[in-house]
Amino acid sequence: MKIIEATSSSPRIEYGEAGLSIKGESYPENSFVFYAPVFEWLAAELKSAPRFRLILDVSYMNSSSTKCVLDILDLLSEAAMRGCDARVTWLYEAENERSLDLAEEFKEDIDIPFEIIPVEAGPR
Amino acid sequence: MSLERRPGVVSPVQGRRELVAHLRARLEDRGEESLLDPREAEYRELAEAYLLLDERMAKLIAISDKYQGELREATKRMQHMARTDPLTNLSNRRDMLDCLDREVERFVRYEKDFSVIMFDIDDFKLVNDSYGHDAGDRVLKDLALVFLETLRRTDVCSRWGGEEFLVLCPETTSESARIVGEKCLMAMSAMQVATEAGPIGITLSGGVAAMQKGFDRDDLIKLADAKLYAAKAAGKKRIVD
Amino acid sequence: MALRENFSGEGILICFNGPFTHSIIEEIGNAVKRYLEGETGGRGSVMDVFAVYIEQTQNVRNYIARQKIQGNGRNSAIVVISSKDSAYIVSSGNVIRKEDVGELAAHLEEINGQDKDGLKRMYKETLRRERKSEDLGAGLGLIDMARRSQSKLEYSFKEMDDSYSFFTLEVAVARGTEP
Repeated sequence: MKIIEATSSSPRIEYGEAGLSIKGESYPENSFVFYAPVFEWLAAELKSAPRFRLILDVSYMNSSSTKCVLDILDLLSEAAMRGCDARVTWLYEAENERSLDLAEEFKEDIDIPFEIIPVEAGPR
Repeated sequence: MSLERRPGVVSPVQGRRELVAHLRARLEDRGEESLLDPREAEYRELAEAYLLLDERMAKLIAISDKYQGELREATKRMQHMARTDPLTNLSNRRDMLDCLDREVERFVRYEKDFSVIMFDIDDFKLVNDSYGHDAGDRVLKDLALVFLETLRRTDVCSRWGGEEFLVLCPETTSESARIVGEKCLMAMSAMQVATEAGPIGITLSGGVAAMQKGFDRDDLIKLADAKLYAAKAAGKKRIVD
Repeated sequence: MALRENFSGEGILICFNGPFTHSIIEEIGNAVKRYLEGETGGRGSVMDVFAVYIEQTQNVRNYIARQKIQGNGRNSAIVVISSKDSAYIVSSGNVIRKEDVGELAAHLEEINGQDKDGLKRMYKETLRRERKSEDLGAGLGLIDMARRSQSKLEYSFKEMDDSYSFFTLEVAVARGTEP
């Protein structure tokens, strides 16, 4: 299990056995540089993984992070077309409607199972 | 009897503190021999008187220090007052003139570029007439705060006149001063001043002038004034350089 | 930078003039969040103000870095967060090259001409279209800001000399209204 620790402007990333989780806020200095190792790992992993779970718990992401997340979702979609059982779980704080809006917009453009779950505020 | 015990003889010591310690110790010492000496009583009296005086002196020195400190503070405050505009706490005209003189000197001697920006509030008379002088004062005070936030640490801002502000930008070309001016305008446009009639905004006009060879202080100010005039003529709320 | 309690309620909350490094953007961002903590309008509008602030300042920072704007005061910018008429306003000002004015103005005009659905469509198209490295362009960020604002993006270009103009952008976010 690999971990990229969160910073005040970038999320905590955990990736390992058939799963990737992104948790926190995402507005790093350069999103593409930040998410590059994630893409690399993901591309390699998805070549052969029979199933894959992406968990997103991001209360805010800037526009270039949004682009990166979309690219990640695209990779999952492609893997799904090759037979991978890829799913997305989006967690959001109940009072943060913006996060819900964002989740729904992603869901509109992605055709893999995408569940959106509200959680209460507070440490998780 | 050892030399130190004989009344009237004080062993060679350096300084008051050691003397005081010596006398205290001596007074505590009730050695038999010293009590027999007829001058012992007189010696004791003198020693006690000395210690008392020493204590009083220490207290007086402390009080003197305190007053010296207060005097220094008061002097500083007075000097500050002489150089500051009471409403906005910015430098006043007198202080700015001194700053300018120093900067001109630096320009002549070391060829250090500098610029000035002459700002003027647009239609300030209208503000005073429509909302009262209290509101006008609040505008000036808030404006000063915004200037202090927006200008760089090395810039000097002064209240030049009723609604005029002259800013000195050391080590700055007219282009850079222009940028500084634009930023001030931008920050001012976000400013909202509370009045009885609700919050009001104001705009500024500004003229930028860079120091030139052969100019004196007043030439520079005149040039900035001329640029300001051009800004007003061109429609206000702008900077001309 | 300063948190201006003097301006109690109306007026300038934060004003920063200087170089926009990533850590400065972060630090001021934290101040924005703290300041809006007590905001009664709900998390939504707080996130909107924060988002607009991040998009604006990162746009400026990226522009200055990419265009290699240097020296002479040109590479420092200003950001002001203020409140006015029940809206928060995030505004920024920076120097841009004259040759970039046209494209930026056209882009802003296009955005201002869209309604809510149009903006959503524009956003999705740009999201798909932007290539990875070079186009950390203002494109997506501006559209994102317009979507969070209930009014048009206000902007101005003030010509400074032959090569540069001063660009200002103002984005208003309503306090506490739910979409």
